[in-house]
Amino acid sequence: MALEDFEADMVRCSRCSDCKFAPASQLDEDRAEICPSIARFGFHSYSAGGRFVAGLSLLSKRAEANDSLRDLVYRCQLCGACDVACKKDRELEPLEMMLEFRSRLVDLGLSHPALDAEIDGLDRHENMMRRPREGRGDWAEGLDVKRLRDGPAEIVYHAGCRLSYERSQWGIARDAITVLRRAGVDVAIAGDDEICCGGRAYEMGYPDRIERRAERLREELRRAGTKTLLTSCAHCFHAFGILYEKIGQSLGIEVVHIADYVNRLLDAGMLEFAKEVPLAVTYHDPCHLGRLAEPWVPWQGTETKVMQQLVLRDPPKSFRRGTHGSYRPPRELLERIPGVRLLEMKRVEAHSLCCGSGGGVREAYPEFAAFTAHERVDEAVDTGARALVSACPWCLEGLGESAHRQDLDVEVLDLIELVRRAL
Amino acid sequence: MNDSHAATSHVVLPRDVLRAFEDIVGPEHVSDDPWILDGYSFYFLSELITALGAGGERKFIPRPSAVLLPGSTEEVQRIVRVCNRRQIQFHAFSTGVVCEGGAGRVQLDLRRMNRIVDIDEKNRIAVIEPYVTNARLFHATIKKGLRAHVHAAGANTSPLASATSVGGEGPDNPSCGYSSRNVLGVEWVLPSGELLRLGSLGSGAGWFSGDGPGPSLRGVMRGVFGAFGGLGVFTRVAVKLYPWHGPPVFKGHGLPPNYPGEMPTNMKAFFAGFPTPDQMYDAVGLVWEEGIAHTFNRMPRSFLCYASSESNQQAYELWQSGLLEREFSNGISMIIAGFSEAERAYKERVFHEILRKTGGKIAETLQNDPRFALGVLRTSVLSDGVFRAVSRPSGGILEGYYLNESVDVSRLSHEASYAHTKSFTDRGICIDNGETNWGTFSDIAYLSEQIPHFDPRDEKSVQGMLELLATSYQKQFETRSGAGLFANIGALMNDAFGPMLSNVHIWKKRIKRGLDPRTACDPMGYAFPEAPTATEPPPERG
Repeated sequence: MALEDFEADMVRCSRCSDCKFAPASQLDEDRAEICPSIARFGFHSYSAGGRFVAGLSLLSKRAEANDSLRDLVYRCQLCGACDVACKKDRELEPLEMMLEFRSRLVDLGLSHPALDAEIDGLDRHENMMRRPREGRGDWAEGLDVKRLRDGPAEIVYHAGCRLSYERSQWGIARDAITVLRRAGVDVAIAGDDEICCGGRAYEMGYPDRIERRAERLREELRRAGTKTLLTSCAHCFHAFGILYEKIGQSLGIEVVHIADYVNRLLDAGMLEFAKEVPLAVTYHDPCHLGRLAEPWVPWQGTETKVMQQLVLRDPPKSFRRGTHGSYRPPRELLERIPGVRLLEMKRVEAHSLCCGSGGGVREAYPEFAAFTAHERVDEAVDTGARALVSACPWCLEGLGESAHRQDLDVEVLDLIELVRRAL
Repeated sequence: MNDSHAATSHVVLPRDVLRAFEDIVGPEHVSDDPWILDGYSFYFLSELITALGAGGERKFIPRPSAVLLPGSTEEVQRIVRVCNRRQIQFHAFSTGVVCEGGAGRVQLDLRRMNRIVDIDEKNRIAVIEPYVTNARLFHATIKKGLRAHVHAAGANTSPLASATSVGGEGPDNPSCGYSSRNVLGVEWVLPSGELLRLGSLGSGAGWFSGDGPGPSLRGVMRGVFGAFGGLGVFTRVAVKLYPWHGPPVFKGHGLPPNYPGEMPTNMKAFFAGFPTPDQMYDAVGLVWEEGIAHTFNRMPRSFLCYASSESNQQAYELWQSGLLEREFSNGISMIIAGFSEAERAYKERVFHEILRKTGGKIAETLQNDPRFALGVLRTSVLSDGVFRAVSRPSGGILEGYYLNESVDVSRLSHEASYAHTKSFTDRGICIDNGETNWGTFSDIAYLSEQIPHFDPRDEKSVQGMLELLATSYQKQFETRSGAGLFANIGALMNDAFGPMLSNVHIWKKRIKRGLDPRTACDPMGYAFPEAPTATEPPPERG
């Protein structure tokens, strides 16, 4: 796809502002807005509708592409909340358009310097943490877990860049392995050989960076006879399960988030909780595990019209409307942990507010990322919960920093940490 | 990029003016960046506005010079005073589906003024700021067993704008009136920057009345259709609240895009079809007389296809199935509500009696399929899903024949309106919806609107719509079968059609000159001021 392919959507946007709010039957009098970008920057241009206009403006050559346009396009987490809200009633593709917009800006030489540095780090060191490649597998030290390179591995756990390199989050990956092994799962990791999924680079406007990585991972997993790929990272989950499908590089195996997998282990009687964890928690849906995790439905076709002007697609197109995101499994898991009481925030599931860390915002606009995380932590605190639980290390990092900055008495935890406590 | 030579320029404000604005609202709430400004040059139907000769190109009206985000009434006043002093025109709007504005002007985007100031349960009043949306106000008020009227422009549009500045009808008209009837106290920053408080607010007696004690200027402020931002800035308004029969929390459960949810126990949706339009209008008159409708839609069957489907494809398949043609020709849908089971049952019996008398028939399949009932419920009470029917089919809609009159006059315009639309659908200009004329009624009149769907991307469709607009207005004025919604909106249309509308354009020009002697407020949405007489002194400089 190219930016030009969205010209019809740009023209047919009716500026209804639905992209700024949760759907009317889902919102409340407060915390109704779901787009961090317009919440922070105010001008209409910072909404999905506004970016449709900017896209049309660029295609119409109304203004010179410059740093200001770059900020407009990149001050967005690509969280997809606007996309779900818009597509409840429309057949436009704001999220796909915004992804193409970034790619176009990179082609025009208008990439963001902070993101260029991230991409440089990826190219050099194969991770999105700008760390030397060495030591990627250190998080697993002492766990005596088998390595992918050593032979067949039906089930592989992919830690991802953040859990591999951020020492304060190593516990999450270690807990995942501990839980899996407690259930008798024969799991392998790639350790030092693990590479980045490429998902974050893709969203930063560098789609070429994902293809080679998808190819390599597919080959490694094929060689090992892998049938199931597990991860605790919502970004990796999204890349493996959605983006690889989108670019035609399907892994051809099952990709499962650890929360869903633990539910399976409980269902199968392979795992049982032994302890009570008396804690009121609220759950933050990671965008990449929630609405963005809806399976990719490939479509190639043309627009056609019936009844003179009624717009259809030939063949019929199935729009991704956030219907099939992974909303229930993490909640089911929380509800199964003895003693845990789930208190929901106002913006949940398909209309969850982003944590602020996605789309390169954490790297390029840290103040904006912090603003968004602050809003989300506030909302979590309003529920009365003592812990804010999520299922993505990127979310946890941003939300945790915010809670710390505000000196709040609220724990920020990964789901697997609660599971571990209950074993 | 190497295309800078092709860039569209705009009138650049002097640096000291921008600094003055920054001093008022803060630097981060002022922008004169072309990429930000273009976001304010693009509106629903702007392709028609530019084609009418208002300047700009296709979807883009002329780019304003700056956009400001004021956060309070005081900031608005100070901005307006700067505009007066420096002879810069301004235009304010809230959520912004439709907006005038343009070259050299300053746009005031009121999104920071988004507070529900008060909900006075006892006196059934809500006081709101410009960027409070229908949806937010609805959810806030139903917690107290009350609700505000929700105009049909969408859940995320502004009740303040509807009450003070634009039309404001909706399917809940039968039980909630419509926006111009619901406006009470008003806080109004005049084009000069002075603050005017209308109704009881003007005499310090609170927000409860729009007509006094205190200045009663509702007719001047908004007339029938409003001034579209051409007479200053409305910063707070009180609107009437009405009883809400449903639960305190109205939330569709389930997953997007439909959130099936449940019908509240004391509400029920009805669908009925009629053999002829005449029989349908007979029934409309009786439903109106009996006061049994909480919401009411006279609905072309294609509209029901759009509103109750997830996609255009699904809507088309429903249309092709012939179900609605069999059961919902000349159709009406309504929600009946009661505070008790007995009240609701009584209203149902009355409705069935009306159907018996008029030859109408319940659309059984629709009646028994919850997706239709829940779709109509959300659309009717909350304007949720309106854009499925308005924008999704082809991207744009227009209004041709427009009538707010007795049922009998509407009956006369029905066939003429359909025949007129047909002459355009036959040429491929707009969707062939089979029927035309959406309608509802309020306490004073039956509202009927010819709503053709067109494609803003298709030049033939856009040009055809302009022709439809002009010819439908000409015909409805000649045959006295309508009053043309847009004929009364905007300076250009008003000048063209005012002579056919009791010379209302002359009055508007006088009002404009009286309230805005320096034309500081953008006249495009309202009226160009009347020229001063030769003996009249020029307006004082601010």
